[in-house]
Amino acid sequence: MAFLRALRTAPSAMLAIAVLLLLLVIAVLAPVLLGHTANQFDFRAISAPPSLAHPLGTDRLGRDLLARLLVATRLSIGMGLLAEALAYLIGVPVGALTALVGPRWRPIPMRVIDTMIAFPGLLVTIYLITILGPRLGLVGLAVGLAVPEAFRAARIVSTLALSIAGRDYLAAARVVGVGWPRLVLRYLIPNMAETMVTSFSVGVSFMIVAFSGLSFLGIGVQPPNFDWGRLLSEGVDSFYETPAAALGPAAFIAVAALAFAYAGEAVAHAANPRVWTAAPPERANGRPGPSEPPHRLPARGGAPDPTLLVEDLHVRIGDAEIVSGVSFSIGPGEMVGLVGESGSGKTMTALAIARLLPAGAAVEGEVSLLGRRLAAMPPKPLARFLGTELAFVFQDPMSSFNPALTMGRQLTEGARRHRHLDLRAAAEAAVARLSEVNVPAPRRILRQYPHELSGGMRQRAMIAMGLMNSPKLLICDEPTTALDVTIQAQIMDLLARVNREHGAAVLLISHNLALVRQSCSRVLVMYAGRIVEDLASERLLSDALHPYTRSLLAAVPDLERPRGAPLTAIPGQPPDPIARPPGCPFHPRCPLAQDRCRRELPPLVAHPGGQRVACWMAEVEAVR
Amino acid sequence: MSILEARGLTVRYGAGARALTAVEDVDLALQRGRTLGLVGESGCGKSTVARALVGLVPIVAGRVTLDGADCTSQAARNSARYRRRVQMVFQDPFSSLNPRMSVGTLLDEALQARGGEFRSRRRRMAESAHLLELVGLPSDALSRYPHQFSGGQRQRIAIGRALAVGADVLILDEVTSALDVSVQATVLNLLQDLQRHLSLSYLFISHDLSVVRLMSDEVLVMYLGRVVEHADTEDLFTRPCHPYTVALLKSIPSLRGRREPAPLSGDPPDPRHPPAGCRFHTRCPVGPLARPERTRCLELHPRLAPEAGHHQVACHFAEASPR
Repeated sequence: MAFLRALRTAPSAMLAIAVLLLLLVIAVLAPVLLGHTANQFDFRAISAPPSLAHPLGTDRLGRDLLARLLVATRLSIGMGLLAEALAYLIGVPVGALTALVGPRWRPIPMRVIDTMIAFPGLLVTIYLITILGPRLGLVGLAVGLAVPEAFRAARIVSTLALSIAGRDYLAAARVVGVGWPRLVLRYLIPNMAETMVTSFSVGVSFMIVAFSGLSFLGIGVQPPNFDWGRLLSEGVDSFYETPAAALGPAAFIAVAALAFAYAGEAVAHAANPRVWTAAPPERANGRPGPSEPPHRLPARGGAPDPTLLVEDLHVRIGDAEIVSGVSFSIGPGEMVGLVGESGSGKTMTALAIARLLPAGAAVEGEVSLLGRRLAAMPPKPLARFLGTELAFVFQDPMSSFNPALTMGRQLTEGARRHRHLDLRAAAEAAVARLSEVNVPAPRRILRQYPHELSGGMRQRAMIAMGLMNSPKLLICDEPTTALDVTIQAQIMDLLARVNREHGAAVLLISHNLALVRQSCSRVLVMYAGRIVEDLASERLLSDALHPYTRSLLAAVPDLERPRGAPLTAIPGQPPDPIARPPGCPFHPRCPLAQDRCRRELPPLVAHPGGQRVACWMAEVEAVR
Repeated sequence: MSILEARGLTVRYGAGARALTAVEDVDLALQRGRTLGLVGESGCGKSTVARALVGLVPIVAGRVTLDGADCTSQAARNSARYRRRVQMVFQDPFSSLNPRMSVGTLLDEALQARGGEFRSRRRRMAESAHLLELVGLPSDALSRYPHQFSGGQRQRIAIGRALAVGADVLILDEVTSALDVSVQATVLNLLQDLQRHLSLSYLFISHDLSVVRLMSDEVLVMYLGRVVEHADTEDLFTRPCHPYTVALLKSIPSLRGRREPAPLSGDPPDPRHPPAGCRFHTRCPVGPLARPERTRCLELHPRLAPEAGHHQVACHFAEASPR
């Protein structure tokens, strides 16, 4: 079974499960086989040290310690399981009920649960045990342990159920007509199971420790019954004579607790189809090794002193090469578009330029801003240089502002830090920038928090923040994707004006070909981590040569396109970055692919038509 | 006669001072084998229309009929009979499929809901295989799980599931918004093929006018919960009448034309407190902002009135402006 296969691939999980099974076997068999031995007094061997007959020695009444330890397994683990099961028996319905009652009544059970969780659980347990213990014995103990735990379980269940109830697939199932019992059985429970199983097993492990602790203190199991905690407390008394008497139970408690915690987590994890159906990573059998052309080509930019020069940039995250040898330049005041579909590496390219890549990403290649090689600069001057000369506008203006600080704090931070302005001067500068980007009532905005602004307003504020230090390069990563079209048009107006009036070069990253074509003077098209075409945007529609660029153009549902004509779809999918095909990465989807395309990677070369193209068939295309 | 029809559809969330009337007095009618497009920006109520039509949210006023039979009550729109006819495909294919169910189970479950001959397991197996073929997925997809598919393939699974129930009316809510352009094209082409072969009726909801233009026979434009314009697609795109529609069309970047300056300034108002009179007057380029004498827009809510032929516009000063 796939599930077992997934388990087998994790050795630590297998070990935990094996230990757990062994403990369960001991719990079942030991009282049957060794029950007599464990209670047999041997007055000739009182407090004897370990020997062949008694591997762990004997206690003060001459009973064999190993036998007692093994026999105690049943009570210790059994009580742990019983207490946790009781807790879930109470907690799951309470939690489910909390999730089921409408939003109006929900706060009542929620607050009760919160209060109970905040109350020290051990006190509740001791209190309950004192009342119930004498009458109910072991069951009373279990109840005492279970009650505080039940509220923890209830909290987990209600939180999980509420989060799943909001998911689209539940709404989709309701529309299809799936009935309530099935919704609970096949939708709610499986999606809650991973967390529930983990929290149950961790709970059992906690219960075993807690129960042993109570017995150790003498308020748990009462003689003649014994569990690990009791054995431990007896063993501690004679620690200097027979240390094994204390170390044995301690080790069992620790091992059992760890086994339950690990095994539960492993089983829950492996039960997730995402895990056990994940394909083992396959490597492409032929890397484009020797045929890889030298990428140290001069990156065409036009101007002799480009604002930004990127040469042979590579970005690797783990096994995946996200960006594979990207070279381009942007001249002063130029507005360049970088287009590509999701996974093409366009955002990673931008983050690499701005040195914002996540930890763990490996970067190679050269990035120079205003003629200075970033890799050669020491960290402090580099941070200052980037902080003043480069600004980054993110896609989601909500998540790119700190929700806990006012707009004023965030807008003025860069100026205060890099230009050492005082708060008042920085605030004046911020007001000036905000009015420049058409923000009405800029002084009020400075006192507001990000969530109080609309999406368009936040994006304007983000651009204003970028302009605070008059940067020479503005990188905008999908700046309008989260916005409505009428607002998008306003933001694009604004970017065009910033580009014109401040002379700042702009790198506009977008999946929207039409947007880039209309706003930028040049378009870079990315596919599978590489730039495949670089041409002037007014020539995009008429003269694009790369088959990918042309297919993309044909797939855009433009307003000018005749209505009856079906869209051209690109068959297949972009390649997985850990298993790119040999040769040209587009060849499996390319209508023009030849043998050469399957073997050799085409370099990005200047074409007589005035653009750079990475395609072996570009010449043929140009003639067509 | 239209298959699915709504008259005066009104949906309200919450109550009292925090109430939000997401959809107000919307009329729409789906014809057999045809597509009605529904466009508007975020918060205009288009997704609420979808959710109301499939019974996920209750209706506070108006009337819904399926083949002439009244289905206004929440119970009627949640009945098995209604669901076997009217299905919905959601925007995000990564969240609309239960990650714990294989594709086979997802389809089988929907077929079970259909009952009748599909009580037989063998019949359901055969139909599942047929559905996969219909939506263009390989037959080995049955044993796989949603996360093993790309976004476009997942959307095909969702479409297959809606068809498994036996529906002939599909509410398509932003079904390609989460997809890349190249993938969007394959899903749109699939929807058009299916419509031709199975004479399905679509309510095609999108914020993207160019996609709506491609898919729809007629189009409704919504703004802040109300329909502002309704026309045959060709008519709407060549001769838009409502200033909002005109602005929307001007805002779309185009592969061919030049970039035009943003036609509208300001943000849409808070839908909890919509402006009095015409809801668009706070941003309207031909309204009282630009022409102070047009006070009618401030006071009087314009009703949807016939302009010419099928064309209906809700504007006091509508005039066709050729694009």
